[in-house]
Amino acid sequence: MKEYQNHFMQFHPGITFIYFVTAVIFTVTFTHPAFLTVSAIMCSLYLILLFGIKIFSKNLLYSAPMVLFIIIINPLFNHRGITPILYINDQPITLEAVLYGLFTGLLIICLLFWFKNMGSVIDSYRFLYLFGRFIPTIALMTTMTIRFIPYFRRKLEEIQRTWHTLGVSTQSGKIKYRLNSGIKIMSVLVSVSLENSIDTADSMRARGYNLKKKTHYHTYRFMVKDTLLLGIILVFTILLIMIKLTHRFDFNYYPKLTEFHLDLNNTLILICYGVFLGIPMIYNVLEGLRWHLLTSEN
Amino acid sequence: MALIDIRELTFSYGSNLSTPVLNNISFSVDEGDFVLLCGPSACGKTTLLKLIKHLIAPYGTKTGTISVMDKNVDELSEYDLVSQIGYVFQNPDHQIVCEKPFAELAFGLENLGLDSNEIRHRVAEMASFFGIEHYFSRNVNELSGGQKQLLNLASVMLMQPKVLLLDEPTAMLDPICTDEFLHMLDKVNKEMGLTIVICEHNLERVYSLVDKICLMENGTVKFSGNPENGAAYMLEQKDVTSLSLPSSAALFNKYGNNSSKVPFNVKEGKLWLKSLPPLQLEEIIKKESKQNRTVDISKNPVAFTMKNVYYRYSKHGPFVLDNINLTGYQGEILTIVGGNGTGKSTLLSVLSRYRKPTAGKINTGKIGYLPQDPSLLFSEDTVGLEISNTVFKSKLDPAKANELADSFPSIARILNNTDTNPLDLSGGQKQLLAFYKLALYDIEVLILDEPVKGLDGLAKKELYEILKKFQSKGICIVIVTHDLEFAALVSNRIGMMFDNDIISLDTPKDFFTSNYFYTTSRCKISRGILDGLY
Repeated sequence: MKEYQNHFMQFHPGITFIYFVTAVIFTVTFTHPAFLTVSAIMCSLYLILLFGIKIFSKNLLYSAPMVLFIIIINPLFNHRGITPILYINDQPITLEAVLYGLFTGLLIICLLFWFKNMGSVIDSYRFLYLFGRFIPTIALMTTMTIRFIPYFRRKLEEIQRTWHTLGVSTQSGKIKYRLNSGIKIMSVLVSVSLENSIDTADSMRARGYNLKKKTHYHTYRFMVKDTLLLGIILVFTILLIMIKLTHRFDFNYYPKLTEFHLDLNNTLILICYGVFLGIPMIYNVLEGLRWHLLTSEN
Repeated sequence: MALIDIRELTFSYGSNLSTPVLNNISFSVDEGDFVLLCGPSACGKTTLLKLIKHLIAPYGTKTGTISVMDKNVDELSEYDLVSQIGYVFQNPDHQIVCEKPFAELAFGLENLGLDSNEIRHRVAEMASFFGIEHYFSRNVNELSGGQKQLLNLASVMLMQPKVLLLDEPTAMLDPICTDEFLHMLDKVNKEMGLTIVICEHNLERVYSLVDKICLMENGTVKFSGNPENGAAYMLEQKDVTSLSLPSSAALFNKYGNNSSKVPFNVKEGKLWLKSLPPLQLEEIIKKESKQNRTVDISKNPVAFTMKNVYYRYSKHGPFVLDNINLTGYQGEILTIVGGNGTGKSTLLSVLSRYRKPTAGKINTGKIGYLPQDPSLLFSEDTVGLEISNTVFKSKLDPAKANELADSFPSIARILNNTDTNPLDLSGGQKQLLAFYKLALYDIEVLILDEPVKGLDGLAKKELYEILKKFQSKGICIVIVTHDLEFAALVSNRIGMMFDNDIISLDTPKDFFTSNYFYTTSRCKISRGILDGLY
């Protein structure tokens, strides 16, 4: 498969950061199921484009247990709502509560996906560029986490291999035994890694991490297209805030689902929302077209 | 004028003044010198280097002075300490902070507050000097150990230091990467006149490059001067560090006459051998081949077999093991050598039954696996707990365990410190403890991954002895290593892994004498003059 060229990264990291933050804020504030669905579709599409369908389904699978948990737990303890589906111990399980759980779960998945997409556009280097000045410790911790994860994974495999021959294994045996083995293996990993981190700290200090001034290899210049994108974000933000203020899309699950019709106005608003959340993908299409025009002229 | 001047330096950790780590050290390094600090583990080399760098000095009590460029290091500003004194650590992985090589290169310069244009200029220049361009934007974890260490060297060099300190930089590298790294140091020293202080255990390659050596022991400087006198001194005093001297110097010590110059590399060694009379050559071959006599072990009972073994990591991936057929015998030491990425560690994974082969059959007795970093084998807080837990788990009779410990004097010494944390032991001690732990499980096949890396001469000797002991107990030992010198010394058979298969499984003699490049220094020296020496 051809690797996806993410042209959205060409924007100034400050602007792309603002974009993702607004996208996340809107996802959280517009809890209307229709809006949530649009957000879910857009972030999933972008995730698939960025990482491929395989990683997407893997991520979905990992978040599934949590979502299922919410879907099951909420109706068990929350009996509001007027449409009972079934009764357990004379307590009604209501359709409203199930739907509430479902959309809360969807919201969480949306947030996870948006943050994953954001992490791909604002990579560790851009992150350090943006926040290194304000919160140096946290910014550095973040890049180091990314840097050391593959290293720890390799170490973990070696530890597993070592202990496997001594009969400590997470691959076979009873659950309790596997759990015990897992704890042991993790504790070895932690103590070995702590030892190693002393070296890392020394290496950073030796290269002046404590010095006050800090400059950057890459400078991201603020260009016309950045201003343009900022303007677009602003327009959409004002528009969406106005829509929010009309209370047209307030949604109640209890006691009864608020009615909602997909009429022309609502559809247009949803499309508009979708366009906003699809800006990174739209920009990519535009860049692709531009490239096509550029090469076809010759 | 001396660039680094150390006068009457005494240092002890914490406030423990009775046992200083460094005791009354005085020595100096001139501008442009390439200085080798050597000596057994825990002799204070690393502490000395860290005290010079000062920013990463350990906590403790210091008397005496260290001056760099005529300024006491205590008075140097942090900015100067960062930029003027470069420091490269032993482990290539631990000292890399960033995810991408270019960010790593820029890290120091960004901290120094250089403007972006200057940073880009310097990074570009240094990256091409070190040949880093082609992996400039790759992920750090995709690089080989050698590439990582070159990256570390480059990122320190970018700050244009006046002096470069290196703490066993090649201990984790294979011989080819070691050569490349040392060659780069030599280039930096000769072409830029940079002053270098390096501490190393394995002197085989570095010895012929340096201008000056400084031999340390127990926190004192035993000798400092030029390499020839240093080698003569070590050999004369039977110092433990002489075990790590280049093979040519060791040979010369046995058979050479003192009037000629000690050879430190293959070229000099060859010249010296050629100058010897034929009678003496005959004597050498007679004596040396007696030592090299290998026992035929193919009559011993079989310890493990691998039959037509294939392995691949994913369904459609390439075969990482491609039709492997291997038999190990009891009481045999079988060594596998070969470059990185030829499938050696996969072979170990499959043999130790951690991974199931895609096809083929494996029969083995009980297996013990000793990883490259023995720390991975320890899970308890003290040596005592570690051992008592192991004895409990392996259901071995405690009396038998004690007996086992007594049969290895070097291990018994470690076991006496029951309250020490296993991770606080030195590399060699950790390995001995790991050996003992595995021995308690009554293993039949022992797998070792790179056991020689980072060991000093003495620890290597102890490793050799313990391997021979295990061998005499009828345990089959499989070693994967890059250290050809050690492989030649210890193995019954040597195989080379290439292109996912084991090629040329032979006795050390046949293996090394038929190889032209992938062979020991002794063999390179004697080729065409003394055939059959390896």
